[in-house]
Amino acid sequence: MSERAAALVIGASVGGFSAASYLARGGLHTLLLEAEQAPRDPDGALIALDPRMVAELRLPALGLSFAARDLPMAVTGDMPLLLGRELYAASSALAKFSDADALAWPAYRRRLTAEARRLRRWWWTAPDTGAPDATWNAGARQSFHHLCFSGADAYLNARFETPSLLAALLWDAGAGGFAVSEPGSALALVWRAAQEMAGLQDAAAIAHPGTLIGSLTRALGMAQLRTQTRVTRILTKSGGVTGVMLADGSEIEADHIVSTLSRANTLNLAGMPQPTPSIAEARILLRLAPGFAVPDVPPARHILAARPDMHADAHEAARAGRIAADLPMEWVMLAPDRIAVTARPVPATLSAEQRWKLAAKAVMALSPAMPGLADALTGVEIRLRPQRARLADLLAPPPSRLLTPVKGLLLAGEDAEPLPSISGRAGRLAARALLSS
Amino acid sequence: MRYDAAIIGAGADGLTAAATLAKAGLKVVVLERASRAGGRLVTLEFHPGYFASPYADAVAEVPLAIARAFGLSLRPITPLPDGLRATRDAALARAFAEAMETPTVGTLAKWLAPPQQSWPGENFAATELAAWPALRGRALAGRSLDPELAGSALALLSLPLSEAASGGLGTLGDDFAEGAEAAGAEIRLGQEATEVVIAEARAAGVALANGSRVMAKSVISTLDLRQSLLSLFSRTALPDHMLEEARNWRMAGATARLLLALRRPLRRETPLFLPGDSTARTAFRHGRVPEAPPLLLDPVSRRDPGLAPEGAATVTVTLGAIPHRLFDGGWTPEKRTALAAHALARIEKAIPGTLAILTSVKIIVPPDMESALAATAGDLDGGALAPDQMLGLRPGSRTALPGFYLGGRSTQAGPLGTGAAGFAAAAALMADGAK
Repeated sequence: MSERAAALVIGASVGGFSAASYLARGGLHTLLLEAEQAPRDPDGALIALDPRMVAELRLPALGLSFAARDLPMAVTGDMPLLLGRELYAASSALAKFSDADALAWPAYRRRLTAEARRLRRWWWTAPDTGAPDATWNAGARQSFHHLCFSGADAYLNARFETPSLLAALLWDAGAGGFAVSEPGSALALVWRAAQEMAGLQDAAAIAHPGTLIGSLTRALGMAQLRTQTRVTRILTKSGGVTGVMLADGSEIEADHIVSTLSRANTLNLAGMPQPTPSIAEARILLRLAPGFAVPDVPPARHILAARPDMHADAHEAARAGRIAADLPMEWVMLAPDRIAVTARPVPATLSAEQRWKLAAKAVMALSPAMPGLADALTGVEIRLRPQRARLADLLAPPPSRLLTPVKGLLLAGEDAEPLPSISGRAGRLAARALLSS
Repeated sequence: MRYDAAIIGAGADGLTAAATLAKAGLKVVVLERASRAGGRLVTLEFHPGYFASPYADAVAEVPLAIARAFGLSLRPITPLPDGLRATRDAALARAFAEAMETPTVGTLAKWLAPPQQSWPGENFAATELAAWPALRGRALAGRSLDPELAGSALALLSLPLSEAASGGLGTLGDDFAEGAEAAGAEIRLGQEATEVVIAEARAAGVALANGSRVMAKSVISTLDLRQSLLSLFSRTALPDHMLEEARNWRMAGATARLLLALRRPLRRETPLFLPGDSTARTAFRHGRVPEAPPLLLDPVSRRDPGLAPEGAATVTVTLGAIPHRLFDGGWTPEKRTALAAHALARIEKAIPGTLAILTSVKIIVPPDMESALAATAGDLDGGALAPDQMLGLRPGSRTALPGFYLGGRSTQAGPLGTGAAGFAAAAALMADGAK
């Protein structure tokens, strides 16, 4: 007779831990299945960490501690520029480049924050708050429509003139695989602003190595973590889940499954093949020798994008299966021995040669800021996240992002967020939806 | 003498507006910079015995009422699929309805009005042109759109699928001019408008390049939004938000044309579309001459034998993703030749033997269109067809300056039908007059 659990969670990522913890607190016998030997720290900065999850699971008390909070955006170039939360500090820094941009900055940020405040409810609190524009007046609605249908390039071009500033701001618009001229890309800017709003300092932060996963493991409570347990199939019967089959051939029966894999991978496991998008985001982890002398750089997400048009060029190249000569990147110093580099857009499938090329590009792009980086390098890991977000994804109500055509199968990974992010929100929402059903 | 309306530009829009207003009994004058009426609807003898319409072979469909009023004889190149037609017609109907409405006084009423219904084309904002392979060529020819990006399908609402039954687009231009004059409008050729005269906070006439003034109760500009607001007014004459809107309005001129005179008929009877490669749009963004831009070859004299001498052929080639401004200077003769050479090499590869029968090539690049048609950046669509510039967010016919109307391609009705924007502007003017 095979094993039985009330709920299975596939993938010990932040979303997986979140779902499993909430399900266990709801009284369900829950197993968290992880294919690798041990859960891994997220391979980047925490850009959208769910503050409610952090508070409700009491993660700080369980060991979570931050190396840096409230990360500003650093614009790389001949004259470096740090854009943080303080509007007037950012403004006066911008005044070195352009008076017009310095004047436009506070208005731009306030505008994004106002839109973010409206949409935040829609994106994160639940299925029950109604349409995002239900209570708006005509003027707000008009400006929201304009934002929905605008490409970020046009939206930003109408406001700023400094090329390096435009190029850096456009980085955020490419999240999820948007081309910066596509409708939805301007809304991606609002999504980012929503992560950086007042009171969300931890939502854009770097945790001390191991403390996030450590605290989440301690928060699991009655839920059980099983490592080295790879799910090879999601078993279904007449449109509903019945359990999973593991790599060793054994089965676990369950009525509910929460998957933190991508939508395409999850449905593939359930025997419903999905087309994969043609472009991806590459997350490159650079491991450094212990003694590496880290230059004195402020904790920030550093954007490497010099020209505004390189985003469009790279998107076009990626769709044609090429890695652009000028590839936009972002890097964050996770720890003295680890740098997370994100590069996008790149093709969804890379040849071995292209992987090498990508790794070399990342190292070369960082070298000016990090003398001696190439010599200190001890390892490079590249992970690809295929994704091609669309306007509808950003406007879809939360349940539709979590639901699948299979009854009892919910998503809680990065695909279940409005834009891919290490958040944990989708896990919390999925557990809640499942417990209330 | 004081007119009821002065109209800037004698293209399809200006002449439609003129005829509509004149028929209603208004005293109308049309001011045209060029020495002939018709705007882009012209056909020239580009080589002895060979005729072609230099700026386009076809136009966006002419609304039936307008085609009838001017007695136009048109031929559809391909019929528009029903789904597209319904959306386009709904959008057009909405633009007309908005024009005919008498506006409530003041801006407060506008803010208190119930939220707008969604615009008829909104579903296209998330659709790619690539999903419509049969119409892709006509939508991409002469444009810089990326057919794989969401929103590119909006170009389908402005497909140039109507051509003149015979004699090229110039015959349509002549029909429009005759129709306007027959209705009682006065057309003044060779008169360049330089400024809109403002008196008592409303438009009161047009100042001309020759120093004279034409006084009128209302003015309709059929120029694009940038030209209308930025070049027809002194800097302080309009409220800041209007200037801001015009400055941020994106023009997307990307059309080059080759007119080919062939000694013998081309070895192909139907149009040929070569989509080009992904480096073309990169070159476009960087201001370089692209090697393989989207190319639509049309053997126009097959359908309209009068365009070429007996036994010979006129062929037009429309190239897209051609930058208006090159990063290293102007469109020198060498650059023009390079552009033509790349295009001809691709054509020769697709239809071998073409070069051997080629007699003459005329090259038209975006700055030529800009200077001939007063279209900013040579954009024949009046602005980029991006979702934020379509979907009801284009300006309407009315402006914040009383008595000044927009009747060109930049307005909501502009890209949806030939003459439609002129009709909407005339309708708005009459609705306001009736107030």
